[in-house]
Amino acid sequence: MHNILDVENLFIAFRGLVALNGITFSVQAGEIFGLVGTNGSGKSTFFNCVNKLYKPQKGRIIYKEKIDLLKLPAHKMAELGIARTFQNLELFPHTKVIENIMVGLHPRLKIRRFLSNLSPKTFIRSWNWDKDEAFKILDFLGISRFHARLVAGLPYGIQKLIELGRALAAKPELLLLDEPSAGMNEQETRELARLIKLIREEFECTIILVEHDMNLVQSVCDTLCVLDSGNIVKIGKPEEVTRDPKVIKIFLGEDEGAQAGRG
Amino acid sequence: MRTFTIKLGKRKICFSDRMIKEEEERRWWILPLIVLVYLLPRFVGDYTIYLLSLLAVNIIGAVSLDILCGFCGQLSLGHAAFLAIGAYTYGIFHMTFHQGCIISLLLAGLSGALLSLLIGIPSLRLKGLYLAIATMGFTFIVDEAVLFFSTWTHGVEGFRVSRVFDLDFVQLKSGTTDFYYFIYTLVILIVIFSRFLLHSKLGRAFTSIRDSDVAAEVSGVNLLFYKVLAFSISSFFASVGGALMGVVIGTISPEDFDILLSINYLVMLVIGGMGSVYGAVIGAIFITFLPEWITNLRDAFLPSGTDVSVLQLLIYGLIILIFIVFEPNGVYGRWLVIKAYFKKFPFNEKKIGRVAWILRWR
Repeated sequence: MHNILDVENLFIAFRGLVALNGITFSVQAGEIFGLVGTNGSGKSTFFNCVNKLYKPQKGRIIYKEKIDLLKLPAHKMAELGIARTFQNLELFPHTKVIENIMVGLHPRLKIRRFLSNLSPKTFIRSWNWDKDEAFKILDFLGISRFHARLVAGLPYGIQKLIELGRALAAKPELLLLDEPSAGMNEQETRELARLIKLIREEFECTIILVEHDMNLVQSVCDTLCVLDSGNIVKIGKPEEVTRDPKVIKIFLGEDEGAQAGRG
Repeated sequence: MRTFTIKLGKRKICFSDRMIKEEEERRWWILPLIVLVYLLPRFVGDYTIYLLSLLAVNIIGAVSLDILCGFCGQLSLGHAAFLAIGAYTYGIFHMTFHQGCIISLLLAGLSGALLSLLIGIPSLRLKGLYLAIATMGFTFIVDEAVLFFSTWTHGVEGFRVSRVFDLDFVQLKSGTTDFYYFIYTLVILIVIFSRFLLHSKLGRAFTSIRDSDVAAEVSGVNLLFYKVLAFSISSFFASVGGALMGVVIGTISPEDFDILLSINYLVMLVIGGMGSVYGAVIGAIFITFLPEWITNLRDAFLPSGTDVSVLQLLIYGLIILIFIVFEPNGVYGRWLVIKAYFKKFPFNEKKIGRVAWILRWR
């Protein structure tokens, strides 16, 4: 087992407000890594650092034990196999669903490959390669019936799936999911848990999950990391982490934590 | 893949999502339209052919602006500058240096694409209105440059461009049907190119930048490269259009390429529908023929010789206002809405009826 992501002493502050205070952890290839914490504890900031939307002041993020992500431009991340979804949807509302998915194919579409496979027999197949590939993703998520519709009019749950599909279209090796269960009810969350496990099997990728919902995180994650105002409180197996008194204190507050400890 | 099953009497038909997709993509209606374009000059007079040539230039201009504004979302008020660059480059290479027409046309396009880097590279930081103002500044700079280099460009007195477009085997005089065929072949090629562009990797990168640049960057789109590329492609075609404009009208001067021309092209996009190639074409047709229609109206209702320039501006403004308030997606957007109404997802009665009607004969 090698590490797919090594975060070393990552520090970022916005005008004195410390968002990540020198966190260090590593994510193993093939695991589902949960990142939990209260609002403003720096979970999404960490994602934005990995995606280069923010520039950390200190620290390193090493991808696959050799590539320093912070030295590369933002658009290279997708080529390396890092895809993500957003907490607040970042879709392309005025285009069709299928085209949204096909934007995710961007790093995989190479004119060189198209030309090298060029022959009369396979021409139509390679011409339609992007469409076929996008339909594979839509079929996997079970939303291919929406392919020709504009994103703008679709329900929120479907839009979340489309964004997930766009991330999956890049055949990611590292998938960053930013609060996938936001705005879902209990049943939908259970289905989501199943879907996340299925994605790991089908796409053989590592998943980092930012979540509020402790039930989802406990049922899905192999490793759990609890953040509190930019510091790591505890990393470990979900069972260990949820029993930790400090973690209980953060999530349930002082008094309830004490009661839970007594009970 | 989801499948739908319909019962028609004893027979069961199975549909899948993808079959609907395939049906949607048949666009054979474009073929009769192309035939119509080539047949048209047989039935109209000389003046209309001149107008149609001007329309061709406007279509090239509008489509090229659509690549920039409609696809990529970079609002530009400097389109006239690129037409000016194209027109003057073509004029100087063809008239002063006596180069061939095709070579001059290509050089005009390339010089436009090259100079667009001046605007394209800062566009990474400039967004929306600020980019529009920067590009507007570019128009003024080009206008002043034309006046400054008046030994080459003849300044305000106007640059006379040969109205003959010389392909080696045939000479095409602008205003004749031969030239019409040539220029509309170019227009059709550019329109088809833009359609392919819109549905290719590049076009999707452009539209993703337009809709959400954060998501585009995360999906692996190199923002700077694709923005500059959009500027280059757009300016290349705009400069080609400008060069052809010189050939069509014969004399070019800085006043032909002022800020109003840029706004005119934007208006074409707004009326036709931003972001769609056919929309740009429709808008160009509308704006090119609007003055003619207004003149016809004057002849019908007002005593001849009445000055209608004020009335023209009034109607112009009114139409823009109506489109912006009631249909920001333009004529083409409205047409899509109407079409979607009749093609309502997935099977409205009409579609089932059509299938049943065909299957009767099997």
